[in-house]
Amino acid sequence: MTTNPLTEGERLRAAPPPTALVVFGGSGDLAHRKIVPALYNLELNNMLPQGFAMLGVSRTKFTDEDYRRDMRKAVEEFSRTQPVEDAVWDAFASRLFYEPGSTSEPDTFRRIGERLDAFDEDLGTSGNRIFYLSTLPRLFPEIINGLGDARIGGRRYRQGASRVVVEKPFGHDLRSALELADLVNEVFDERDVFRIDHYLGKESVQNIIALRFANGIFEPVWNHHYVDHVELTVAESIGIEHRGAFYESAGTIRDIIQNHALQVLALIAMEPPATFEPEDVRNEKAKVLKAVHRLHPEEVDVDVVRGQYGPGWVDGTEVVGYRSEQNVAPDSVTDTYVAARLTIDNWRWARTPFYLRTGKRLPKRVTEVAVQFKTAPHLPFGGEANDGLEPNAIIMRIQPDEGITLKFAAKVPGSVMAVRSVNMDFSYDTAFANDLPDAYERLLLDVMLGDPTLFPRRDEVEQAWQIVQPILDRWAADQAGLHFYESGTWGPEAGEQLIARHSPGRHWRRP
Amino acid sequence: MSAVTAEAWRGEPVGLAEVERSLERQYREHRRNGAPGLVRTRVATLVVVVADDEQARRALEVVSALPGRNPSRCIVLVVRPEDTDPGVQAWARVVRRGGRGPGSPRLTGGHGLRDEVVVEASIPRNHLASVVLPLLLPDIPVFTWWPGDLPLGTELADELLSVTDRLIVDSTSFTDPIGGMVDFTEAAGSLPAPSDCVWGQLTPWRELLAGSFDGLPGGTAPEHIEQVRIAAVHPTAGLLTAGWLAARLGWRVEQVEPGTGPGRGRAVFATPAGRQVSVELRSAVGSSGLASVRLLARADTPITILLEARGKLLLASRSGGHELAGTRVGHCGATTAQTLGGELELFGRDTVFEQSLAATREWTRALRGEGS
Repeated sequence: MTTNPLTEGERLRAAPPPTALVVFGGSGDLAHRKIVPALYNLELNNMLPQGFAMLGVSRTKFTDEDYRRDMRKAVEEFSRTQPVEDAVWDAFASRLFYEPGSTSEPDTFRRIGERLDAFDEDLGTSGNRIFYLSTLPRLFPEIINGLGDARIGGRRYRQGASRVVVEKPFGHDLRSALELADLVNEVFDERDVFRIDHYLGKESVQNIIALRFANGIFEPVWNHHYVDHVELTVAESIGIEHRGAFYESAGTIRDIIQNHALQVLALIAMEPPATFEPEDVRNEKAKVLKAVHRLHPEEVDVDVVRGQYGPGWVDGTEVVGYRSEQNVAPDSVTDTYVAARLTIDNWRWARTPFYLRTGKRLPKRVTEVAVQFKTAPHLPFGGEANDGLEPNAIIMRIQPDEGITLKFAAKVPGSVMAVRSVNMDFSYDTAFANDLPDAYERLLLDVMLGDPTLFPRRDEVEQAWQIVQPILDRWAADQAGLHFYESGTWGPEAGEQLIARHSPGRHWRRP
Repeated sequence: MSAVTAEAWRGEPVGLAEVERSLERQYREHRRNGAPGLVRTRVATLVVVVADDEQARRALEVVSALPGRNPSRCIVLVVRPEDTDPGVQAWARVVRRGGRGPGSPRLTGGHGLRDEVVVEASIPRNHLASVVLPLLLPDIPVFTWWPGDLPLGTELADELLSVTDRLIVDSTSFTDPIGGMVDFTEAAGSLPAPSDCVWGQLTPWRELLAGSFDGLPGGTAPEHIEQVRIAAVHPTAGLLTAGWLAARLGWRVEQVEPGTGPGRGRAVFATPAGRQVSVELRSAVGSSGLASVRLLARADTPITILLEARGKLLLASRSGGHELAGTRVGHCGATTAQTLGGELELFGRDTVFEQSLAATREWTRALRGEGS
């Protein structure tokens, strides 16, 4: 495809090429909450290509008009920009379509193919196709195979670009992840596979890369010589809500650690990429994940804590324990809290622990990474002058208050020499507008542009499963060791002991 | 105190040397009043150079309405006629930045503080930098917005542009838009990262025009443009649009036919493939820089691309040959504050703008009567 010279220039956002987007699970929760509102906002900002169409596919017996009405309501409820602008919606809705059908029937794919051909003809979508798998994972195989068999997507389709977007979970364990990846790669080349981890679409996660590699002052101290340990906290105050059945089979370790937490860890710990080209960045992430030490069964017992929330109070409201939630077994041993100590076996991070902590029903919703530096080698001020002094730290706040905090020591004003730790806060909100695009907007745009930088590659996903699998295996073999914690607290006492075990006095930061 | 500052904008009157102390004290008051999240993260300084009270009043209105992200400090410099008794007066205030500019429903918040300083100076022009320099925030970019005529080649311009990283003019406010455009074009290469608010207003037009070539039948592309008709509310907006097409597509001026009235006329360009393109400029009324742009392109069948401003909406449609569905909608009614806010987000030179400006050179000179 030749480049349109009119699309070049500093102010013009990269315009995606003409594209048709097929969303399997088109009437589902994710389409309502995220996908269609994100597309509407892209339309609002003139970021959709002129030649564009979206086709929702689900079992629900909608017509195109029914679907448009349903999605209008979804955008009114979930779009980050309000109110919905009628003219913009009308322009978007004229390119929004629906095809009812079961993905177990080959005829569904024939009909999808016909609609896509019609879009190429009528709407100028130019044969480029994106297939978004927003369904239950058990439907992935029949969708992938259906697309390949009907030759409407995958490497046997040659009329334009053909990409597939896969929502997590990318498998249930290492074996099933490999099977899924093989299945997808049978039909689609790996470069056409976009695995969505929406954390990577967040501005503040991308800012980790900017902080590390656009500044000269941090990288020299970003290693085991200066860093004492790293803490990653992904805390939620909500429980499992209506996802009891899913959570029973997944647990926090699959829901958060295997994907979001390890992806963020990779960005914190990776080596500088040669360029910001997709494969350079993904190579470095895969490399550092490969260097994460795989835990032996006996190490799992001491370096990983699993917990489950009991009843308690959160945000001033009394809440039930996990075992009393809907669709949860009364004797469930599913983890709703995980704390883990990981190490990375490479020159940069040797002997530097990375503490990961994630859980439901913790006191607040917060995601942050704290890089805790070693204490100054010598404090000349003596005795009481140092009271209240803590080691330096850089805290990258990912949500909800996106920003960076630097903790350092300052003299307390007065005639005596006393030093205290102070926090210097950078907040996106105060420096830039708080008009951050939703992660799905960025990621959908990148899929259309064919830029996979912010999507985990197959080997990254496999490496992450290799890190998690020994923990799953140990837990499967030994059901004991589940720690209960009261809802509204920062997790079980065992989590506190975990971080203090190797270095007395070390404690979790209170976000 | 000037009438401007007394009526619409109330700052604390201070001596120039007291400005920083006054601002710091006002910061502390804001904190004492418990405003949340008042963290000072400095991004840029904006200097606005105006010549009279009316310009100052309008500039302060725009500054007050700037979208939340920028700048951290605004300095409005009112350059008074040199006086036999030269002097400098200053007013300073700290304001909460709103995250939502007027007419910008899509900005959702944002807070923080902004310094606003008004300085009236009636000192010799070659010493004006001494007024501005002490007020600039250290070590961050300085944007200079110069509404009205840019007095190129004068001590005033030389002095103030010497402390500027990026210069923003508004060619619609030039007393003689075509003449001002010629001078601005000639000087652009030596100016600090120049830009024109009109160019920022063209961004949605350019986005939709560029996107209109997606998936056209017969592989119709911008290279196949044969005819362009631009109806411009402001002549410089029309010229910049023509210049942009010429620069991006490698067109070279062959012939210019000035029309009656500023910014009207027709030019014939030669494409790199040796074909001719006719570009016609007409004047129109409206609230945006342009009223409409109509392109005729032909690979095998003729395709017409039409962009029209309807109030604040911009509608793009395509027709000809095969029936092409899908009218696109954009926004073209940006306020001055929104346009200026957009300019403040760019820190480097905008090479596409400068190339587009350069491509208007022969046409604007012909319109000014200098011959092509």
